[in-house]
Amino acid sequence: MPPAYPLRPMVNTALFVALICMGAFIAIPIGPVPIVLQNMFVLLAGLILGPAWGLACVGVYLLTGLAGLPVFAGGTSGIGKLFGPTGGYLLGYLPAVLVTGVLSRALGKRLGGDILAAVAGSMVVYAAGVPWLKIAFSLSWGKAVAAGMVPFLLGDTVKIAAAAVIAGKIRPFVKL
Amino acid sequence: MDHPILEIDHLTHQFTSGGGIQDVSFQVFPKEFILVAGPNGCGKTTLIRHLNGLLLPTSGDVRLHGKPVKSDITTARRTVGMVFQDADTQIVGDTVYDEVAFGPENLKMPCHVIQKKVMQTLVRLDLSLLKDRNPATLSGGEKRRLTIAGILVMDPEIIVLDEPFANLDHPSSISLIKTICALNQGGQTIIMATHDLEEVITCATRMLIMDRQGCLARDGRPGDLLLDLASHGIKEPCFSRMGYSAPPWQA
Amino acid sequence: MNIFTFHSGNTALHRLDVRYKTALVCMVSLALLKAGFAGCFVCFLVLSWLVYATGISFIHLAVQLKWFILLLGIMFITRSLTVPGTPIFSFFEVVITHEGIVQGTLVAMRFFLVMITGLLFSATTRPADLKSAAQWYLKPIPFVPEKRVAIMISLFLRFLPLILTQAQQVSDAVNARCGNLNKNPVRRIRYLVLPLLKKIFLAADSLCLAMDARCYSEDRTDPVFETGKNDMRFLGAGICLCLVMVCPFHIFIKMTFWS
Repeated sequence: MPPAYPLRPMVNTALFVALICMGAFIAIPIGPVPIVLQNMFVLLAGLILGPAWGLACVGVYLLTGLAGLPVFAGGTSGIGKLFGPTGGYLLGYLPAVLVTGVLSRALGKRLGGDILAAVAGSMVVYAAGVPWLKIAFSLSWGKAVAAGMVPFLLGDTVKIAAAAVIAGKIRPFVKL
Repeated sequence: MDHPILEIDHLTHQFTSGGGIQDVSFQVFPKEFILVAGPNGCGKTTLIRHLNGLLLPTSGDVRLHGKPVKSDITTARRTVGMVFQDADTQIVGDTVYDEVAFGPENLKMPCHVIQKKVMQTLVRLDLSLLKDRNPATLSGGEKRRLTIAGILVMDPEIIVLDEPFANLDHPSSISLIKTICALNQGGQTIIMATHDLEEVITCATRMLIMDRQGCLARDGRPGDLLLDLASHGIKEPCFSRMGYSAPPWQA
Repeated sequence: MNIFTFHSGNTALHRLDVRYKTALVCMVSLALLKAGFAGCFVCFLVLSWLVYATGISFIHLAVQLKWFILLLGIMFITRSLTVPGTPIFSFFEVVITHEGIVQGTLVAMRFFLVMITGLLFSATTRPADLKSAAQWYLKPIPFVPEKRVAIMISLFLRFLPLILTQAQQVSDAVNARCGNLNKNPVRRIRYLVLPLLKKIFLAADSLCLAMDARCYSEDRTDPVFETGKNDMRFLGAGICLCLVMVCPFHIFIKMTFWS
């Protein structure tokens, strides 16, 4: 008798919420700037959970932060952070996970497709984050990109590669 | 004799990857304390997961008060409470209180009833002082008691424990046995799957031995089966190996 | 664990209805975005009094927050160096401006106060209550399955410590075999995250079984809230505080002194 409610995807989604939250604290030292794994887990959520549950995952994450639990980077939280200068990146996770999930599914969940989906997802995060930053600090486009995008590109390349590899390896373990 | 609570009738479960259990039949009567003993991989866990419908038989039947388990899964899960091997991955709540309240909330009991039952259960298992603690910060023995509390609060007729002594140190194991024996002496039916019989064998009223093929090899009083243990790959209790007479049987 | 975990107690903040508390936290953080120096100072006084009343030790707080305070320091320094304006100190290329210091102080103060607000909230709120509040707030919103969200929140809180301990174990196991010598970042992430994910997805699987065994259902008992007069008083006081914080004091001061 299959249960009438989606227990498994729900538990796995909750797991990814926890991972995204932990991702802000797990840092891997590479070069001068340690990379934080948060957005990698957002991409992974899209790749593994698919668009719908991925969206739910990011939604619940933002909601807990909004409600006052210190789950955003650096242990911050609250509506002020979510709609503050760097809030664009956080809100950008929502369309990003959707795009990643849809693309990965459409491209047949293969390594190449996953990489493409993850790249698209990361681009969406910047597409939301950088203009937001520009407006919030009234910067020029050049400065906004230099401050809010360029420093993270190297780390992102690494994370996208890792996310695609991990997604391929972990899918057989995840029962949805 | 009383009517059996559970009847397991020619139960067979085949996994596609091989293994499983073959043609197991026995009955569970009220107030029994049944040990299911066997080496790793003999199907103890597979067997007990049939008792509340987490697994459904390939062939054969599991009946609860005469009705097949699969006909009313919620009742079966409520009547047969199950405590799993790994305490960390079965605790759902983020405080001790919420963990115990999880089951009653699922059954949609009214709030004041839940509160009363949870507090009673916490007191009964000596956890009331830890009510607001995060379960992750509890000791191994306390976590184990908490998982039992989470089941006990739903008033099950049978409590099934899967390898309750895994990862527990000696004093915690002893105190856990005391807790379980006290429950049994209070009339609670208990089924325990374990390969570590040393301390618990004297409390049990009955023992089932499973062999490596997943068949039920022996079924009888623990005292009568001591000499069959070693040949089935289970460690014989110390007193029996050394040729001492058994400590007083408590059951 | 850390400072963000719940400390049980029976202070006014502990007893405050969690729905009001959530609303208050949102209001205060929003007001802080707009608050000037005077507003921040008022807020600082109120928050310190609350921290004191809740019984959190100030020294403990400072020790726990030392990295965050360091971060604020860095923020202050970068602001004071980068914001253009009247220079008050210059050394070769490095110019510290008056505007920079003012802005830096303000930003650091706001961040600090937001942090303390969040901290007070998480220290005095049982995570389960937060879940109930989320469920209550989401109820009127269509197409959002609020009970499912609530259970996901509590599961997520449940997974955090599990992931922490597992991550520590995996990284110890990797380092014990000199995995830290590997310089390839993709490989490093793979060897850290892959075993971690495998472990916790297996854990998630057993959790599903355990929830099933305890009759998990979405049709479950609703949380109850107890609201008293005290909650209304807190709400009123909070609204006043926010108004005071966003109120443009400097204009009044200017008007008094210049007219």
